[in-house]
Amino acid sequence: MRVKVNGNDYDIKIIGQNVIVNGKQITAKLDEDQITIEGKKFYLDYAEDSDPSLMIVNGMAYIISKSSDLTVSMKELRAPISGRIMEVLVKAGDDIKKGQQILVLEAMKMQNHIYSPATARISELRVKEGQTVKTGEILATFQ
Amino acid sequence: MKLLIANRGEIVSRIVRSCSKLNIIPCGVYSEADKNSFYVKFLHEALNIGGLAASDSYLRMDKMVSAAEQLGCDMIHPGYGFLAENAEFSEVCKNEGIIFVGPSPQVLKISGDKLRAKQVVSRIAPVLEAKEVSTQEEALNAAKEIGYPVILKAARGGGGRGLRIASSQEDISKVFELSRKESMISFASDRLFIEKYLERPRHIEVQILGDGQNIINLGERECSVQRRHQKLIEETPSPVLTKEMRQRITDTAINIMKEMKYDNAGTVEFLFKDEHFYFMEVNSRIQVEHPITEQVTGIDLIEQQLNIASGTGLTIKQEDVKPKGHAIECRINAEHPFSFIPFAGTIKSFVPPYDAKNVRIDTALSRGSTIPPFYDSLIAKLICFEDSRIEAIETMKRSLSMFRISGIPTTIPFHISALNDTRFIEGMYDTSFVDELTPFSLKDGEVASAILCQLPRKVKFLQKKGNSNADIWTKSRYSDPNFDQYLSISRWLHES
Repeated sequence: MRVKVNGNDYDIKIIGQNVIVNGKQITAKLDEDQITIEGKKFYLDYAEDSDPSLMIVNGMAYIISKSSDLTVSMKELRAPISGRIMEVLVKAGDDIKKGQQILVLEAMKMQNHIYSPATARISELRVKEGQTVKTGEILATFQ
Repeated sequence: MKLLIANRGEIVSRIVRSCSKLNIIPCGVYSEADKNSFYVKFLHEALNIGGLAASDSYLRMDKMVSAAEQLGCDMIHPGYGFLAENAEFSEVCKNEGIIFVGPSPQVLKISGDKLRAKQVVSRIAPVLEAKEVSTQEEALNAAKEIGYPVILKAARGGGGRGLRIASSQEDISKVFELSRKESMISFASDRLFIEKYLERPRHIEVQILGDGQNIINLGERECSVQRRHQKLIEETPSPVLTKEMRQRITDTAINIMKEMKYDNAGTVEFLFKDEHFYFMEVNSRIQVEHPITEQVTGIDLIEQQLNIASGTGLTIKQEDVKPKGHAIECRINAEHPFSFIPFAGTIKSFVPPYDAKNVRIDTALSRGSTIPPFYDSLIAKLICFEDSRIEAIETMKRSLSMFRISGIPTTIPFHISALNDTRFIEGMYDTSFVDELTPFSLKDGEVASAILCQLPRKVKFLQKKGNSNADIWTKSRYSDPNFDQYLSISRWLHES
């Protein structure tokens, strides 16, 4: 399996309890949220289930992607958190680039800039300025 | 004496600590979302004021006043945020015969109006040119006169919200109406002003204590590490000020507060660039970052606030303020460490760094605490102090990597990256620091890969037990139909 960790490629093979990363054998054992690698203990603070995903180990963050490149096909954009739409910067029919700002969502006293996860055309915009949204609600759909 | 703390979270625990020193009985309130919050346990008595959103709970003056009356409180401490700088609330308290722990309504009326504060201060200190604008045409004219780039601000704004930078006429046309609408929604006022935008400044503030008669300064705090105009790391002393510059900035701050006849704890914020500083605003409350000043001066700021408000007055003089050593604060927020998008959720484990020497943690969290989606994302403040700046940075780095918070992502990885950045280590940073930061952890991809290999096995194990969360590992975050489960992603790591 090939993965990208913070932009660098790693080649992984699993043989029994052993993991071979870039040809180097690592003895690793995950127990609850602790993992012992080569006798050194690491703590898994957080792991996402997405791809690419965020993993926090010993307070350090890793963005891991299992697909060969980081472009994942996205059909829709959902609200990452409940809040209020402060600003909508695009409209239906717009061609948008990956990473382009789509809207501003105010939540937990912060103005969160929401960027496009993909290069696509917006087929439908489901929210208006001033509207409140719930976590997971579809904000826009892509073509 | 009985005190009502009209706030939530860590600042409640902090105020309780000072109350016990002064034999004041701490009481408080909690919203429907906070009824199981840990901070409530610290209070002698607490009332459920209902509501979820801040506007239905902690922002309700009527609920606070009736809670104070019901519990028989003589004083109200507003903490920071919510009602802390609300002149009307200060006035309501006064009329009800309750002592408001904060400045008088007269002071709050000036400091709460950024434009008015600038007008008052412009007579005695350098300010950036600003003009009130009520139409797009006025905005265009003002910007032309001041010269681009300019920044559009809400006169009633605060907390880093409602700011927009414009580099051209087109920008103004694009953002003017939006800013007005946003200011109306967020601050219930559509008054805007345009100010000269200073690029890449440092943000330095001076801590003041005043009782109307005497005004003293407790040194400065460097707060340039910010994202979206909200602070993330603060330190004192500022690594950039010379003795002469420090004298100049603290003298100016004292003159400003004298002019306002300031009574209580407050902060004068300045922008600093090329050895020049410009007055920005007065924060008339206790600030989130007050602990670093307490650690280097040994002065309990909340104790002084309570002394001033209760009529005892300041119990210290300027000569008593002798800052020693260096202190740094990292604000640990429940946020994605790269995008800074806040997360609500449940804390699965909470283990603070066990090496307690020269480490202070201000928090109201414990294992099992939930972070409601209605309020801000600050969950803990990690404060480290040592004789020298370099030692304080080392202690902070060690403490950060030993701080175990799981169940939600936090900004701990951001802080580790920031403290390993050469610009921070050398003290040569400004407000653009975060935009140009690279994540620190590039070298350890092997560890992350090895852990990754172990995760799917866990998932398979759970699948056998019929756990519905198990297969979401392979799905994309945004295409997952059961998106709500996303927030409790790491639950399965702890369930088996």
